[in-house]
Amino acid sequence: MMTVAQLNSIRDRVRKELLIREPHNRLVVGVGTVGIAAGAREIMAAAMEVVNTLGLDMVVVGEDLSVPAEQMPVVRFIGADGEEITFTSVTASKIREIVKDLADKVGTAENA
Amino acid sequence: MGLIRSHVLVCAGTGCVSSGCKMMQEAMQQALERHGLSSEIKVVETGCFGFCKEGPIVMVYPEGTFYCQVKPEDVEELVSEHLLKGRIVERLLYKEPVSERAISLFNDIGFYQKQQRVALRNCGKINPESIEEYIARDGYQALAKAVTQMTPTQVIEMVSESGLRGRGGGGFPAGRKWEFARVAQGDIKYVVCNADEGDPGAFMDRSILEGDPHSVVEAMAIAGYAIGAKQGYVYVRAEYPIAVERLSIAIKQARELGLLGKNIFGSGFDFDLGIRLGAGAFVCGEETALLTSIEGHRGTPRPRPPYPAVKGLWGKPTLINNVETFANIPVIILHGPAKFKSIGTDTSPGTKVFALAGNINNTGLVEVPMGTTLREIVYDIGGGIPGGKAFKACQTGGPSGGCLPAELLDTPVDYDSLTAAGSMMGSGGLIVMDEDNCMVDVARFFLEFTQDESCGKCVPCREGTKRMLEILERITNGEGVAGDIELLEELAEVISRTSLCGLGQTAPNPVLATLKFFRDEYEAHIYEKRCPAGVCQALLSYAIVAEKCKGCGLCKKVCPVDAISGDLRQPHTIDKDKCIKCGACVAKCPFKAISR
Amino acid sequence: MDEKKCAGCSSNTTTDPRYQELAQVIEQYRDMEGALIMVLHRAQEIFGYLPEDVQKIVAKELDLPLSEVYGVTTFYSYFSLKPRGKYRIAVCLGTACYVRGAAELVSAIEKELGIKVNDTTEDARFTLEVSRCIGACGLAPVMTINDDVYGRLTPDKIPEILAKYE
Repeated sequence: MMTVAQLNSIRDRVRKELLIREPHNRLVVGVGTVGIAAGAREIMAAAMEVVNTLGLDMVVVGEDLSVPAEQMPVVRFIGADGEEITFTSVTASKIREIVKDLADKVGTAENA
Repeated sequence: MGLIRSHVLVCAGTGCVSSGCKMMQEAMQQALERHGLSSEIKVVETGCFGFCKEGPIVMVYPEGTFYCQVKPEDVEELVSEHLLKGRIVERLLYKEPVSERAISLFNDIGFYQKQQRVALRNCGKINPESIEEYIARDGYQALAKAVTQMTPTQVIEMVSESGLRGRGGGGFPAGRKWEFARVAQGDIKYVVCNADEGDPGAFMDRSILEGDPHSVVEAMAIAGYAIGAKQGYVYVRAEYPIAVERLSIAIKQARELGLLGKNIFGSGFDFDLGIRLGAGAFVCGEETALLTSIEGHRGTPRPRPPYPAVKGLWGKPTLINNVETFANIPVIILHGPAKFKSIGTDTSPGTKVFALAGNINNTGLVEVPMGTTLREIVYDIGGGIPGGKAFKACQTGGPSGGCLPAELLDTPVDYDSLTAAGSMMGSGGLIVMDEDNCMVDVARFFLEFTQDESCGKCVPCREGTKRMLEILERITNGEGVAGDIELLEELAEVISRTSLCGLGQTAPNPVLATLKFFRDEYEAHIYEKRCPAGVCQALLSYAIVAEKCKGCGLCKKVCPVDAISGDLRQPHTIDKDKCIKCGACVAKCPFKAISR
Repeated sequence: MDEKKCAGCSSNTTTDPRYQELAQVIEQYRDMEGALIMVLHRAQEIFGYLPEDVQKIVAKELDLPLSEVYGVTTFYSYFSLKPRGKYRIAVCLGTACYVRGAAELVSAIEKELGIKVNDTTEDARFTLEVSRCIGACGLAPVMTINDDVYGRLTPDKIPEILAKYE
């Protein structure tokens, strides 16, 4: 027999996975050819890891962002309300801090 | 990376399967592995997106990019450009027919803009073979609420209050049907889902079963709780193998989690479901015939009353609703009747799913609020008629319905308006016909269908439809005589008044509706021996227009009976005595010089 | 004997594995109320059609009069009493397909195979049937060959498609 509490716990767990299909807050990593050469894939991995550990209501997206090559790798936060913040010359350690700083703004997936 | 950052949804509905989505999906999986992306990108099979014409459809999340007509050879570019480098592959996007503008977001496409998805809420959004994804979108919450917080009477009051009417065609208030079954005397009762979608041209029930089978399972359990039934059956067409498979998986998963079976949510309520296959008999869509078929017999109807709610399956009180009706139930229970009633019209609340097909640009499945006009469906959602041809009629209600002409395009789609206009809602097939469709031939087509599907139990339907068909065949063969129209009308009246079940009672409708709006076409066939649309072979007369003919000789070559003669570069002629009116020459002529 | 044509209708019911499978199916459904149609579906999957002796076995085992079994098999169009070809072509004649020229597809296939609707080719390769709406109206006109669905068809595509089925 399944209890209502068990049903809710499945719902909450899987809902987090499905946030990808209905994102509220997005963290866009510039992954064009230059971005990848500058290490965007590592940054993306690091960002996803922190988002996952903190259980944030935010999805990490790869897009070809156009910024001057010397500013790569680039990351842009796009909030549910349309707010945009762009971070340039990002590194793997920097992105961890960036995500942690955004945590309050986006909240957790639990409360999404 | 190990963490999933993107979901690639591939439509695996019958339409896209026919368009080759399986091969494309395999190619996708291989390409992801080649690029080392298979651990961070998840490919998910979903049910129908509704836009079958543009299949196979692929949707990439989180961006929400909508790709269409994706072939196996397109997959490499899609993976290396979009999934790896984040660049949208422009050439695979949907292009607006007129502006040719490429659109990447699902909701920006005209086809989807005017739609509102209630019954199809999960179709194309979740993996229909994953109960967890259904649960994540509030699945089984309505069942939990019903059995743990509500009494059966309260559940039925909520359904009544919502004003939900049967989506199978009749439009009978669902709440009243539930109430009849609840108050009926009997220790054993049944819930039955009618998934014998026989109306040719309707496929919404199939798409719901393929795309969101759990919504039906959940709703049937709620119905069981409301009326006091422990067992339900889904009667589904054997012609829908994918739907049958997904439904079986859904039932199995629900049993494993205890969402079907004994003591659901600890409430003491038991409920289980079984599947019964139809075997290709249209009459089994009629509820008493359907029950007879579940019992294992020839599916013939019986007189009502007693209604199934009183005396149904194996003589026990039985509630029968169709798939789309059930799919609305969890939404009503969870979000309340007021929200449901805020959509649609006063007498027909909610939405209706239509299967848009025929001679129209955007074919597929659309769900619109009741009260949307036919014009909005045909032009705004359906994108109008292809090839610059003129709209002639909209057929709704299948073999029980009628055709509405261009003058009535502003009719709102709801049960009462369609009936008042001379057609009916039916299960939701909406077939668009253009100037090249002959309305007499269409009426003949439907009569041929009902005559063939008549079960033979009652005389008016068995003999009457046959006589009507004979007259229609006579007319389309150019042998119609004065008085045929009047005879058709007389037969129609007797058949609809005296037949045993809905099949016979409504069988004359396509003839009556076409007579009402397109009587001139009947008269042209009978008195002028002419088919205005150029469809009825026997009434056509092929001739070559000398001014247009360049004398290329292609028609002469293709004619199977050597009826065409003429010298090279000189206008040719057709020997009318030899011509068998096959139309091969018309198809071949590069100068459109052959008239009929 | 032409092995291609032989449907094995007089084969020994004790050694032919298909009959053992049928016996298992009947056993599985024996206690189910109204099992007849479900059993016939499975029997048709096993044999490809419903030969007389299979109907007799089903009647005897389910304790039903043969007349009732025959009544059911002849009522429903999904059941076939005639052996069918290796590949079953079914052209959809639903409304959407009809208004988009399905009748011309039927003529094209008839011409290509030299058979009429409900017939089977001499070499038992193809059976041509027409079907009720299969719900792929968005791709009209459509046809199925066994489990494969072909949509957006025109008569000139027919020869190429049929050639794929050996």
